[in-house]
Amino acid sequence: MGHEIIQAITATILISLASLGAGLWISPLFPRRVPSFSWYICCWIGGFGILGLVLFVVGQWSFSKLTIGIVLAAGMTTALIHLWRMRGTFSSLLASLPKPPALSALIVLAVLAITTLGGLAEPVGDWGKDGVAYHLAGPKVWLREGVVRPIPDNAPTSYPSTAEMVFASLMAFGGQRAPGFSAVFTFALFILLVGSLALRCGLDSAGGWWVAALLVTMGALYEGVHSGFIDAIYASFILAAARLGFDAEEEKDFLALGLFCGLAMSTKYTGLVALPALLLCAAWPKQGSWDWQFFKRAAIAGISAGVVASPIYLRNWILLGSPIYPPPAIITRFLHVKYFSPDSLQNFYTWVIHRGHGHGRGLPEFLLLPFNLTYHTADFHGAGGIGLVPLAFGPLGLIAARGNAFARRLALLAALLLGIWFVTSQESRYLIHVYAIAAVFGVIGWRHFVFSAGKRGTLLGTVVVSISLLYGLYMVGSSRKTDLHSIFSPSFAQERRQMEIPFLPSFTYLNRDPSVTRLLILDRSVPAYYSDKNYLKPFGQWGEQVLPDAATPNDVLAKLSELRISHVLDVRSEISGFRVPPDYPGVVLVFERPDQRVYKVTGTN
Amino acid sequence: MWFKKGVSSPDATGYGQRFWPFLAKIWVGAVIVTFLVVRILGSNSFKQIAHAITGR
Repeated sequence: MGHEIIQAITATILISLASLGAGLWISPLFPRRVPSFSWYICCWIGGFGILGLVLFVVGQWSFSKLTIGIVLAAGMTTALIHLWRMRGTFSSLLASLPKPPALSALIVLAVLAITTLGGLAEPVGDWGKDGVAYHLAGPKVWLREGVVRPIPDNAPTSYPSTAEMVFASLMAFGGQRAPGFSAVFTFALFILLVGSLALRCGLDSAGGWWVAALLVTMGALYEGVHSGFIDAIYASFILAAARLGFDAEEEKDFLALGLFCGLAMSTKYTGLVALPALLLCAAWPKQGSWDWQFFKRAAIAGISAGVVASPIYLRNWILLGSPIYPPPAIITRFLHVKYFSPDSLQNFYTWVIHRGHGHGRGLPEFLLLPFNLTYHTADFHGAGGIGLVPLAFGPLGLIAARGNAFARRLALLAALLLGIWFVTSQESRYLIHVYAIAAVFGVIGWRHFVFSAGKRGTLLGTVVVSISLLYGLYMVGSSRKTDLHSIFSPSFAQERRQMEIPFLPSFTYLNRDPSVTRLLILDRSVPAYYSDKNYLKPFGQWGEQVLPDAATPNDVLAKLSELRISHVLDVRSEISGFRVPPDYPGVVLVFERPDQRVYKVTGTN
Repeated sequence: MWFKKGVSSPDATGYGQRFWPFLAKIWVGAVIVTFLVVRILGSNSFKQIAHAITGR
């Protein structure tokens, strides 16, 4: 395990260096008035996205250690040259940093330490865990096959995949644990970015540290940070777009805005609906009077966003029949897509609508959102809550910061994104950027509350912040308890593998047997992530049907030789019994454990 | 204290007088009380204790 851990840490350091270098490629577009702290953070975050995007484009032709290594080397070289040139200024920059408040710094460091150690745990889980189901499954298959293609049985691997491309390069050089470990890097960037927003909204560095402490103890935010989740990375692109876009003045500055919007669009589909909100808030005339330049600025940013995101959407259109896959219900009558029948699509939409229903979509539910997101975050699939500070002090912060034009735009953006989230999919993780903005206004409000409400106010403020921090710390710690335990106890790690990896004995057997060349997985609930061998899964988790002329397991079993299957994994799962009939011709049972059987294909059926 | 300096003065924001700080205290107090009600009265442990006492 020690070797795997060193590999994961090394790969993350290399990726962080390459990200900085890639960010320097785009940095000339950034507005001049952005201070160096924010400039570097945006540079680093943008570089992470650019790296993923370049890897995606290169990966359409070749996705090997060599091609990934060339891309990373280009980024790292740029970063090293820059760091060498700037070596004299970093020491003075570090020396000039103000001393952080001890308590808030301690909390931030504690959660980062949990993220660092927990990130070294082996990925485990069943088909209900998104990381295993697709965020990490796609990268593993792309690396094995040497090319980046959507996996037919796994529609989410066709989703915008900038972050997953970086996960793949982490896996290539750092093994299976590296994507999980890299969360400490992406989370730290996210915290620093929100800190830069806090400074821009008028807080000092101590206020920024308190924003960071409140952020890291938001359990609902934290769950979008680790274990292969990409929501914090997506939120970073949105917030970086706001950080640069709201200070944009020249036309090239709006190119930078568009670039970050494009990176958000090439990380999650939700970036498509966030784009209009970002353009409106950033391009709106600064003097308050109407200006036709609005359209020009918005067009520059919108077009550049489209160009940046276009590789992913064009690839999907060409290979799958729709730029957005699975396509939105409204366009299915015009587009014929691969691997999904109309019934499967209908079931998929039903599931999506049900999942994102929250408390409802009426006006009363919208007005009650601040209350429900604070006290019933779990109803939006956001275990751990967001603390009391946004609700208690956010409104006061809005009033207090109303004189700051940047803060006004940020508040408007949060309101628009909240509205869009409310009418689309009410999944807590999709709202991380709004939680971050709420934390900024929460701390501004807290500061003014304490200022104006006297001793009792100070006491009330301390109670609210203490509840938020302590409850959040408890929830964050609980959520990573088993990850941490598995790092310090090899016996527990082994026990956990056996408990949480479905059909582990069969996968162990299949991965070790050199005669396994192509595996058939008949049950759609079996996570193919655990297979190290080439596989065919005719029926996907979301209703995908890979073989047009094989609608049932029996249809597939009749084609074993034609499909060049060497082994069949047959299981009794939560959704089905065994699929291979007893004494089925052409296959021989070679491995059996409770609820799982492996057959070798003899080729005579 | 870090919050004694920094962003604009509270008087400039308009609620540095008596009524607004009072209202703000009521609001913040209500947020805390609601948390206690939702978290403590809604917790399984409390429900179990209540069940043990009332038998319902």
